[in-house]
This record gives sequence, structure tokens and C-alpha cells, in this order.
Amino acid sequence: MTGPARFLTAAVTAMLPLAALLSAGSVQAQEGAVAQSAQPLQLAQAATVGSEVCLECHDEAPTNLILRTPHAQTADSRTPFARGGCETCHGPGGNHADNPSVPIGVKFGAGSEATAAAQNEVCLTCHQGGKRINWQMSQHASADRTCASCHNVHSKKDRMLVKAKQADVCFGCHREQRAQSLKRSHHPIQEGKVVCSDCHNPHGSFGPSQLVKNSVNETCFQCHAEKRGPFLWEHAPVVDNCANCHVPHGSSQPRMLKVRAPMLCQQCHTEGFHPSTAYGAQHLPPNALSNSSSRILAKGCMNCHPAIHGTNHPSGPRLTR
Amino acid sequence: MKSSKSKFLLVSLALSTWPMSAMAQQASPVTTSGEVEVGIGWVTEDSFKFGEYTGLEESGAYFVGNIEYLRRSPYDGDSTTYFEFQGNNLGLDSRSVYVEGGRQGRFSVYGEYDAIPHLRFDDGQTPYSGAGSTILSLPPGWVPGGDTSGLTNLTASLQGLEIETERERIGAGFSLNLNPSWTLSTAFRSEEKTGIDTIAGIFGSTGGNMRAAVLPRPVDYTTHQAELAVGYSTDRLQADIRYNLSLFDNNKDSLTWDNPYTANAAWDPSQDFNNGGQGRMALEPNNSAHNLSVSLGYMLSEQTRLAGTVSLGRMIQDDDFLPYTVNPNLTDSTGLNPPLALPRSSLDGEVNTIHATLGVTTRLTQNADLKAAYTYDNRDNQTPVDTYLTIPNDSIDQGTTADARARRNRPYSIQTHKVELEAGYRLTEDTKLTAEYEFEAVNRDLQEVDDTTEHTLGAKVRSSLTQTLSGSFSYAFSTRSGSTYDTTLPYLVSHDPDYLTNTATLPDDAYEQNPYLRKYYMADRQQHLIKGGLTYFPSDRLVLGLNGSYRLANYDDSVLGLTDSSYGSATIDASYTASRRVSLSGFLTYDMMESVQVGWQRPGFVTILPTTPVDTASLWEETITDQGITAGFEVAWSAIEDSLDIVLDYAYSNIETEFKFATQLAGVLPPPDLTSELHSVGIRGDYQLREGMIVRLGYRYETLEVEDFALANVDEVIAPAAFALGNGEPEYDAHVVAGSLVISF
Repeated sequence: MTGPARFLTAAVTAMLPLAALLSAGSVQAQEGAVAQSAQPLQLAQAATVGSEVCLECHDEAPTNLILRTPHAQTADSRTPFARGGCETCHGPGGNHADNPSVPIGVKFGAGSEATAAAQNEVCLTCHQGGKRINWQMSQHASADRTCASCHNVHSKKDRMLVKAKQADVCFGCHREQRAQSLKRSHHPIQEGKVVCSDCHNPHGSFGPSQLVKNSVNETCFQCHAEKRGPFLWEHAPVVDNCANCHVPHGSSQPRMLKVRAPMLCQQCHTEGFHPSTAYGAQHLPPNALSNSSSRILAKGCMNCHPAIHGTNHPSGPRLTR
Repeated sequence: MKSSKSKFLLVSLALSTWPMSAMAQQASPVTTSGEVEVGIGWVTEDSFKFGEYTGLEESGAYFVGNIEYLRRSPYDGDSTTYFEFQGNNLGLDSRSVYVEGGRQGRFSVYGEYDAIPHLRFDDGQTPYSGAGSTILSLPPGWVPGGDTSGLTNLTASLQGLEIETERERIGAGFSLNLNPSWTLSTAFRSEEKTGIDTIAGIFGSTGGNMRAAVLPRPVDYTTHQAELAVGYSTDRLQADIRYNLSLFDNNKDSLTWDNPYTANAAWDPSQDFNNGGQGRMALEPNNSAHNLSVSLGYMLSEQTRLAGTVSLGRMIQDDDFLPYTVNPNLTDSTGLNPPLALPRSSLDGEVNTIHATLGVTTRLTQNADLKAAYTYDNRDNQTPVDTYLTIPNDSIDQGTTADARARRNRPYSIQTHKVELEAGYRLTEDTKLTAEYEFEAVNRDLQEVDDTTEHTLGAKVRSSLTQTLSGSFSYAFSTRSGSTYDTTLPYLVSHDPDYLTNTATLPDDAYEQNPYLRKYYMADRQQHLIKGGLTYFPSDRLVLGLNGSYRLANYDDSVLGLTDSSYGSATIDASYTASRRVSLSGFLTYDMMESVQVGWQRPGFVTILPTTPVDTASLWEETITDQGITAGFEVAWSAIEDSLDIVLDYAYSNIETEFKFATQLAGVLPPPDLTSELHSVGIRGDYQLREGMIVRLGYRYETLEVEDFALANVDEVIAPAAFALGNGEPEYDAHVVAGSLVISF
């Protein structure tokens, strides 16, 4: 398939749903049914008071910023404000309105007396589908993370949805990865060009480490499709797992390698002659350069074996072509 | 790359026009907010490393431009129309634009443009012309040599080289809510990655007579990705059906370069610079991938949920093969030219994947919960296997199937079964215990170990110890064992039966590696993992954290290869709100990574069988330890309330890699330490001229010092048999100042 043909194939695939847009009129016809079926959650035994009462006291940012967010759009029958306003998520506020010292039914985030599961259940009432379908099995759920641990719905723009800010939220708990992202060789996470959610689904995926794809390699192939192959001559540990050799959040070695070549390669290659050599300072300047120097200087083993991820050259079984 | 800015402008304009017209249809007032930042910045130093991903690599002025615009219907109105525009780094090569709009609850459309430069180094040099193309030529008058000492005009022939690539992406997506339960969405992304990277080109027939040169290689990739998804969601049942397509095109399929050397005695004389000797390298072939997944989640009851997925994938690669050699003078074993044909014209490579998971979570009692999941993952490589009569590095004539150079490809397949169990019990309102068990069985095809099984048992406690102190601690132990480590299998399956049956040296040569090696990703292993953390929040203003983890893996049955590895880190975090106008936060992380590996030095032909006693006099044991300190802090100060905000930040990273030989052979010395030290300090002040108008001044100083023995004290020549690009350690000392006007609304 030629390049343009491949482009067209992908584009046509992506545009198929546009046909469905032609039937958008049916959406309007069905909306009334939603409004009828939507009911406020029964979170506590108290009377409801309506959002206007809440906003009489909670009239400052960030609380009132909810009105500028998708959650507050009353014309969208799916939103909390199309149902019971603030009380859809926080529970009936009658008792709290009567006596502000009585806590609201559900408070979210730090300082909440509600369990993580109870807090999340509120959000999952509407957000269980799509990427959150496996939330309950996720490591974040096991660790009692709440939706509010990361998200702030009382914000014009949730920080998790801003490329430049997302990593800061994740790094609040993932400290090892924060340190790795500041190392000499790293993905452009600190620079805001790669975000954690490019590779991870924090809501729980069906892959390892909450990756967005089913395996480490499939996740890497999203941006490194040239390494996907399959190749004529495959390199076994590459097929097995990219993380056999790379530290994806950053390392102090070139190309985010775990260990400097040739030492990394020698963890699996011990055949006679040059793979078995103990490389060291004796091969480095100011000592006289020998051919062994070519395996520790510059690109190390890759000075001769460049096709380390596999090659399609018929004469390349040693990954030199 | 030259078209980058025009593409960016085109996409920006195209994406930003339609929503405006859509918005014009609504009559009710809308809420808008946003920010426009326009200014100028100045960088003091040329440095590819400093501008690695930002595009701030050249000293001089640059345009500061950022835009954010949010527009949404009033929350209590009849309309749900919204529009969002984000533009970042508009004056840099790392610019991006994102546009989204639609009618919330009905449909949404987005478009995006993103450019990601990757600047590796600009101090490389090469004698070749044609960098970036598929043909590299040596200059007129080139003097070849038997090794680098004979390349007498190498230095005079060098020309500067910048190693950099740029990704340029455009994407678009569409989502439609068909009804309250059904959603249809699609996304499309096209990326072009262009530029120059490095690759090695070699000549020679064995490891003993190689001659190498590191070359500039072209990067000219196009990747199209498309996704089509249908979602269904009700209170009890959720479903997600998704199709993904990825098409990778390499617009440059090979790299051809002049041989800078004269022919070695072991090579065919035609592979000599003076005889027009050339090499040709295959670059990555075109490929495609398809994946269809169906995921379901179902609430069996209020306490129990099932979730699972079945994902079927196919990866295809069938690009035409290059010929065995680009050298037109080489023959087959009988002297025929051209050599014998390939067994097939293309690989017909196909890998089918299946990934299936079924999990259940249930709350057994008020205080007890249980999770269980089974996962099946299969990478089934259906690529046909053939014997290839390889011609090593365009340097010698072709052999026969009875020759060691006749090799059969090894299409690897991997199959995994995994069972995960997790039981949690809440001892008290504030304390929860969790026990975990995981079993994983992996079957690998065509590798030393057919089957590995790993059991992991772990426990975790998490508790709010007091009103102001909470913590967690976990420990897990895993043990992995494999079926017989077949040290001969890779060799036997990768050579032609003619060679294996007719070669008298078998089985002595039937070892691709020293038979005492155990490859670490398949080797028997015991692993300990400890994690812990404390969070102390004595007041609303102060939060302190102490967290750490340590992982130790032992490969006790591995005589050679990786025998031990460990990783550990510890972090102190603190944040303090001193007053309504001053807040501080900071962290300090220590991390280490250590690997211990053993080798058996064999400089000559020495046959080693599994029964050969280990020659302890030839063993070397090397410990490689990375240790790092990473720290950062930020102070935010509202110096003049509602008028002047100042933010000071600092990041520090100091990593040292140390090499030690525990068992040292005569004449072997550990390499010197590798170090890298980064300091980055910045200060930014926002002065409000009037409501909605801010003058922003910023300054950043960043310095990176690197000691890297692979790049230090060496020019292009790195060995008698090789020359590289001569790039040095990536160090810089850069100052950036910027001033801008920020208008917010």
C-alpha cells in the first residue's frame, strides 16, 4: 500500500462516524427521556435545598467556579446540575444549611470523612464507562486513591487535563518517576510535551502498570512504530519487553538505557572474543586506543551492531545491517 | 521540516474558524475566560542539550506566545455550546495548538497540532556528504586506509553535523452522544518524524576484521493512527468496543555509504574504497497494526463487579527485502554472479496477538473486599521461517546452506497466563490490611527457556495512625523458576540443518553464548520489594512526607550474566503555607540502582561446554551503581497583594555511576565514574498593571555538567577499526530572560 493510500485508509476509518452525525436529530428526540430518568442520589437523610442556597455562602472561588465547568451545564441532562445541582454529588444539604457546623453529606478530597470508595462511587455514578471501566481493579483503587486526589472539578480547567500541569499531580505520589524525569536522558515530561496519560491510564486499564495498551511494547509503539516490525531478524529481549533495557521515565545513561553499553549487552552476551572482554579504563584515553575501545567509546556495542531493535536486511542476523 | 511553520499556521487557522461560526448561532450570553501572553525572550548560549525538547537551542531572541481561550454557555442557559483554544510555545519549535468545541452532551470535535523537537547534539563531524539522504559519499581525494591510522585526510575532510529530529503531529477527533447510553467517537493522528540520527556502518566478515564508521542516518517516518470506538454505559453495564489502526511508513528504506577503508585480507577485494566499495543498511520497514478490543463491566450486585476485555491484534510487515548485498561483484559459492536469490521477496511477517482479562471485585462484608483477575496474553508470531544465505556486511562471497553464515530467522512467540488475587480487610476504621498473590506463567518460543513460572506473595498495611499521621508499608516476595535452560537451542534453530548435520565441530560449537550464562529476563530469580511511606500533617499549613522503596533481585543460579540487581529510593516532601501570601514546597530524593554481573573473558578459541569447569581465573565480576540526589523547591510569594506575585523555583539532579570490579583480571581497571549534574533556577514575577493586564518578567539559569568517558578526551577516531562523530559531553551554562504582557479575561 502506498503512503497516500495508507493515509486515506486511516483517514476514512477515522471519519466513519461522521455519517452518524447525520442522524444527530434523533439525539434531541431522546433527551427528554434522560431528564425524566435522572434522579438525585440518595446520599443522606436530609432535605434538599437547591444550589442557590449553597451558593449564598459558597460564593467565592474556587467553589463557585463549578458554574463555569461542564458539570454545571443544566441543559446537558447528564450533568449533576441537570439533576440536583451541588447536592447531586455532595448529598442533600438541608441539615448543613440549617446549621453550617453539620458537615455536608459527602466532602471530597483531603479532610473528607467519607471513605475513598464512597467518594468515588459518587463520581462513578456517571463516569464508570469508557476508560474507567476497570477502575475497581486498578492499582489506584487498591491504594484508596480518590478521584479528587487528582481531579479538581471546581476549576475552569482541571489540572489533569493541562499538559504542562498533569505530571506535577502524578509526581505528588510517584516520586521515583519525578526524580527519573530530571535525569540527563528522559522523555520530555518536564518540558510538557509528553504527559503521563500518554502511556498510562490512571483509571485502570487491562494492561500492566495501568498502561494504555495491553503491553509495555504496544504502548511504546504508539510513538515508536518503527520498532514494531515484525522484523526478519528479531532481538529477543526487545520483543519480550522494551523495559528489559530502557527506563522509560528517565536515566542517566544515553537513550534511557538502564546500564551503559557494553555492560548492559554483556548481561546477556558472553560468547568468546569481544563480548566476553572486561571493558574498563584500560580501553580509554589517555591509554592507546585499541579495537576494544570501539566497544566502550561513543555508541558502545552499537558502533557495530546498530540494528539493535531488529532488522529486515537479509544479511543482518548479527544486527549489523 | 521547512514546512513546519506553514503547516502549523494552516492547521491553526482551519481549526479555529469553524467553532466561531458555530458559536455565533447562540443568542444567550456566554462565559468566557482566557489569557493571551505576548512577549520576547533571550537565550544566552547555543546549546542543543539545553534546547533538547523546547527548541531553545540558539542564542538570541525568541517570541513568547501563549494563548488560552475558554468559552462556555451559561450554566443555566438552554445551550451547552463550548469552545476551547490552547496555543503554547507559539514562538518555538515546540509549539502546539489544541482546539475543541461542540455541544456538550451532543457532540464534540477537536483538532490539534503538536511539534516536538529532539535535538541530540550539534558538535558532530563527518567526512561524508549527503547527511539526511539515503546516500553518503566521501569527498574527492579521500585517502582510504586499512584502519583509521591510514585515513590521513579524515580530519581535513570533516564537516559539521547536527543530529536532530522533529515530530510534527496533526490530529482530529469527533465524539457523538447517540443517546444517553451510547457514544460514538473517533480519533485520527498523523505524525511526520524527520531529521537526522546516528547509525553505525561496518564492513568485514567476522568480529576480528571489522571496520566501522558512525554515520548520519536519515529519519523520515510517517505514522497514521486512527481509532474508532463505540461506548455503552448504564448503571449496571458498561461496554467499550474499540478498533485501532496504525500505519507506519518509512520514506527512506535504506542507507548506502562509501567504504572509507581499503579491503582487509579476509574480505573480497571488491569491498575496497578504491574499487568502489559500498555498504547498504536496511532502515526500518513499513508496517501496520490492527487491534479490535471489546471491554465490558457489569455490576452483578451493589457489592460485586465483573470487568473484562478481549483484544485481538495483528501486526503486519511485508516490505520488499533489499538484496543480500549492494556489492555487485560478490558471487555465490560457485562463483556465479549475482549470488543466489533470496528465499522470498519479502518477509510476509505477521504477529497475531490476543489479550484477554476477566476480573471480579467484591465487597464480602462491610470490612472485607476481594479482587481476582485472570489474564491471558499471546504474541503468536506467524512469520515464515527460511534459510538465508547471508553475505556479511557486503564483504565476502555467499556461502552455502552448509555454511555457518546460512541462518534461519527466529520469529519469537510469547504466551502468558497470569492470576492475581487481592484480599483487603479493614481492621479498624483507620487501618486496612491487604494480602496479595500473583501467579504468572510465561511460555517462550525459540529461546533458551520454554516455561517460566513466578509466584508473588505480598502484604500491605495502611493506617491513619493518628489524626495527623498516616502511613503505609508493604512487602512482597516473588520467586521465578524456569524449565530446563537449553543453552544450545538458539544456535540449533538459527542454523540450517545442512550445516548442523555436516559440521564436525558440533556439539562443541552449538552454544550461541557461554553455557554458564542465564539471560536475566528468563533466569530463575528471587525478588524482594519493600515500600513504605509516612505523611504527617500537623496543621492545615504544613504537610511532611517520607516515602521509600527498595527492590532486590537475586539470580542465584546464574553463574554468568546478571547475578543481582537492586533499586531503591527515598524521598522527603514538604509543603508549607506560611501565610495567605506565601507558600513553599520542596522535595529531596535519593535513588540508587545497582547491578552485579559476571563475565568469563575468553580472548581466543576456547570451547566451553556445560561440563567444562569454570575457569575462575578468567572470571570478572563488575558492580555498576547509579546513585542520585534529586531535589526541588518552589516558593510562591504574593509580594504586593493583588499586584505582584513572585515565584521562585529550583531543580537539582546529581547522578553518579560508579563501576567496580570485585573480581579483577590482570590489566583490567574499572572505567571512571559517569556523572551528570543539573541546576535549574528560575524566578518569575507577575505585576498587575490593572485588572486583567499583567507584566511578566522571568529569568532562568540552567547548567548541566557531564563527565562521560564514552565522549570525553576522544575525537572522531575511537579505535583502529572505527571512527565516530566526535561529539563531546553535552554540557551547557544557559541564561534565559523573558518579558511579556499577559492579558486575561
